[in-house]
Amino acid sequence: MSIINLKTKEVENIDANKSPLGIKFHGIYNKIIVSNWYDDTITIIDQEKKDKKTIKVGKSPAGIDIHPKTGQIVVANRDSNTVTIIEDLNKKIINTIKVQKSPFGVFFSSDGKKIYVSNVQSNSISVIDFKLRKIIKNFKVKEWPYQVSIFPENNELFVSNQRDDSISILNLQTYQLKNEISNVCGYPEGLNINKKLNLIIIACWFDNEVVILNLRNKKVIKKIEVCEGPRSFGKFVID
Amino acid sequence: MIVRNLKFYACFLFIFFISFEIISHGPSRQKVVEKVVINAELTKVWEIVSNFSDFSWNPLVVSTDSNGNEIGSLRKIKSKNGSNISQSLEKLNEEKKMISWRIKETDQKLLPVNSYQATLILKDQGGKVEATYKAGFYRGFMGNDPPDELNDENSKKKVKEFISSALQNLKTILEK
Repeated sequence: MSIINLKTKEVENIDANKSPLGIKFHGIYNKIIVSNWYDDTITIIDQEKKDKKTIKVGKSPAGIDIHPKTGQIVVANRDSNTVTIIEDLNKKIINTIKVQKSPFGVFFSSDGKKIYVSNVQSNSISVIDFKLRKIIKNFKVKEWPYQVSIFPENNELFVSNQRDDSISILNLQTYQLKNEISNVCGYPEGLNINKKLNLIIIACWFDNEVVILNLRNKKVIKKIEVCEGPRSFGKFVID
Repeated sequence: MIVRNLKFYACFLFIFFISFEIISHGPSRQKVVEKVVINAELTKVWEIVSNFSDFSWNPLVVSTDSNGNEIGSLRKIKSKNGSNISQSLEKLNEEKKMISWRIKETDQKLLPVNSYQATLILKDQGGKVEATYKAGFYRGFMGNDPPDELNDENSKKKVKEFISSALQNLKTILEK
């Protein structure tokens, strides 16, 4: 695992467990959380203390997110069709919730009340009520949903559908499909919004481009050519 | 300025994420893109490629057995070496001149792929047509340590050959 210092551009390498895939910085605990795809574990790295801790989760852990207020960690276990909630990092207490087929991305709402899970093989998004630790809704999107991004002011949930070259927009109050942007680009994967700049930013694996849309009217502003095969399923746009 | 900054961060961070993907994530998804410029009318080229029921413009195909030309239709193509491939029609966009299909079943000897989806897009280029044929797929063997004939390199090579020969033949047919 490599840590790049954005100011100095220096790279620090840390030994990871087998096949690190998802990565997230835990601001509350000041630790780095890594999901290990072939190892069915999560590694918690304390960079300052040079300490590493491992927690067993489900099969093929991928996406990770962290509760914005209380710090619980949620992990999508793609080949167990579950998500794991790590309730207490030190005591290693976990909760498992069954979702639909092949969960890959997991995302907390900004108030931490909901978790959204993208189920790649069942072409759906599961909504988990975090307090109840229970699914309250599954809704269909297009093929191979990958990343979810939320625009709470407009009650909008954006989903990138990799294999459909499209973006689904759902109404978070009614959980109905509100709009769909078809043919946005080839294999849209990473999708982030930037509220300050009013933008939706999408990484398009097939087309080697980043597509930028207007967050309000959903029109394409610009397509920027980038390196070969851009991918991401976490936060990749700096606020 | 904003956009320039975004490009910098996008490139920078994507490299960071890609480095995880390549070493870790089972087989990596592959892509092949081939283009050809055809000296023919757009409608003529579209007429051929949009007909899902007839894939004879691919020189490796000897027969196409199809149940229709609508979204969801299936076709079974037989190749020169006797291998079969089953495909389903996924998208057909007359306005954008775009057609997309998927492989349901394949003979690994002909196309060693998994989760294969191909798209063909035509663009008018001042009286000529630019045909772009692209495919996204995984290699023939989905586990670790694939045999040589089903690894990334060979799967990609076979797809490239399949697509290139189809495009070249399309050009030949239309420029006769």
